[in-house]
Amino acid sequence: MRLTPPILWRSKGSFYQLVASKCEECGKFTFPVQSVCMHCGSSKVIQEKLSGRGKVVSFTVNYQHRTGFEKEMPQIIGLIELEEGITITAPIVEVSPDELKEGTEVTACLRRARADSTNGLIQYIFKFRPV
Amino acid sequence: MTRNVAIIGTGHSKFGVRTDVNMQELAWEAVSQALEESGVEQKDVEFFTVGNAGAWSSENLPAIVVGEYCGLNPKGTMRVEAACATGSAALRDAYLAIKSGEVDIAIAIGVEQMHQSPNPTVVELIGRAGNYFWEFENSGLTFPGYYALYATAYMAKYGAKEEDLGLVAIKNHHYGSMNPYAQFYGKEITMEEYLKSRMVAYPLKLLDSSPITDGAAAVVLASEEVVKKYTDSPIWIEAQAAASGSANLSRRDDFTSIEAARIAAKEAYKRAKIDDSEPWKSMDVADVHDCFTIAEILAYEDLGFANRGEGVKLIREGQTKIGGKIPVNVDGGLKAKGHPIGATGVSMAVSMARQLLGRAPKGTQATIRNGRALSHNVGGTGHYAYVTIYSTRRPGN
Repeated sequence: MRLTPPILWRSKGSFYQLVASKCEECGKFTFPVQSVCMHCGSSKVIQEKLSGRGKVVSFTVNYQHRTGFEKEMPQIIGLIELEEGITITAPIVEVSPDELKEGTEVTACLRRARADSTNGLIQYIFKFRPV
Repeated sequence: MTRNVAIIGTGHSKFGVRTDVNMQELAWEAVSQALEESGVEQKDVEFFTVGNAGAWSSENLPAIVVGEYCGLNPKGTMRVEAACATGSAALRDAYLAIKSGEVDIAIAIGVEQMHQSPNPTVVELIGRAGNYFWEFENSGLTFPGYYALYATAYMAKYGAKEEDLGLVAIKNHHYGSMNPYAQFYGKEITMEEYLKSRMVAYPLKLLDSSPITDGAAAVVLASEEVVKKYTDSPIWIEAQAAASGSANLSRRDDFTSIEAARIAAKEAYKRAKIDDSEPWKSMDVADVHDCFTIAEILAYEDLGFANRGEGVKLIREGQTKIGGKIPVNVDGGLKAKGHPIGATGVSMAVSMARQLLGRAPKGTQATIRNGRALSHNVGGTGHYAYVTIYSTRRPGN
């Protein structure tokens, strides 16, 4: 996806805040945000900010680099179960793979993802680090 | 829906790096074989489907290009896509066209030319199989990475080892080495080679992964009303069921099993009236979706060949080799036969039909007692699932 100012501006809510939709009918969370609850189908949903705290469910160490990710190799990517009961896929940083295991407590942090030299834009994304 | 549908002809191209031909020439290798086997002429075909995931290859209207080359125009057609289960989806549409009573003869074709694009492009395109922003764009995750998340979860929960995954790769290469159509025909691997192979996404290595493949497969299907005109040995599609899963891997409730595959299997068993407590007992052979070695072990459990957490025991005990409880992927599987995305599901149907007819290549023929086989084809990381049951006996008899 090409970085452009309008895309970043329009998406700042979901790019730079960890939010989920919370169902007012069943009380459950859906992530990423959507206007219908994935658990009960209700459209009475509100957006709620997440704490960003959770535990590692599973992780991989990726060695197959994709264009643009060369400098980050190898990268740790995990499935993280957040306090609110939802799971998120995200890079895990500031830890070596042998220190990481199922149940390791982690917290969300904003990290630089990539820069677009043409427009001078820097994009940040959520990654997780051990508590 | 009451009509029965049978496979009356099968065709399969050589799988591998097939830049020696274009897409329509590759498809014709399979279609011509299937037409010849069935005795059906192009003018008799009333509808055909073309499974092609595409994106990496140049043809944007593969069904049209393939149909024209194979002489199937002006019959109705469409391109079908369901990620890695595209071939089974193409089979399903052709099957339903007959089952519904609209046509009597249809062809399902699967064709893919992944080598038309450079590897990094293919890696990127496959990596998009999920939620684009949250699982691809942000994380840099590639397709093996998704399955690696299943593998670490399974290994942590059930104590499976890297060597257990290696047994799957060794078995499938062993059988694939005897399948002349396989990408790795003639190539067995050892545990030492497996353990030394390059890490792709921990714990999955290069030799846990199915290759990038070009290939085609085709089956001619007929309604029970016209089957007798063409053959005395039809292979009936006894049942087929499909299910789907969440786009986000992270929305699944379990990372040691593929829910869509469990749902499809349960429904397929119900439709074929198979006891789902021990379904392997009424089956002779199965092809399952081993895009990565871990996926084959998950498939054992999702299909009910083993209890949850015990799939790894089946491979350790050699129960999925010929002579075991249920031979699995004895055509080489995706691992060694190759995985040309759109052709894979149709290729499974070809392998299962030929097994039931006793026509598998030397050294890969399972013992046929029940006259029944199964294919399990998963798209994405559990986004799509198709389970098909084939039988030498006409359903309802």
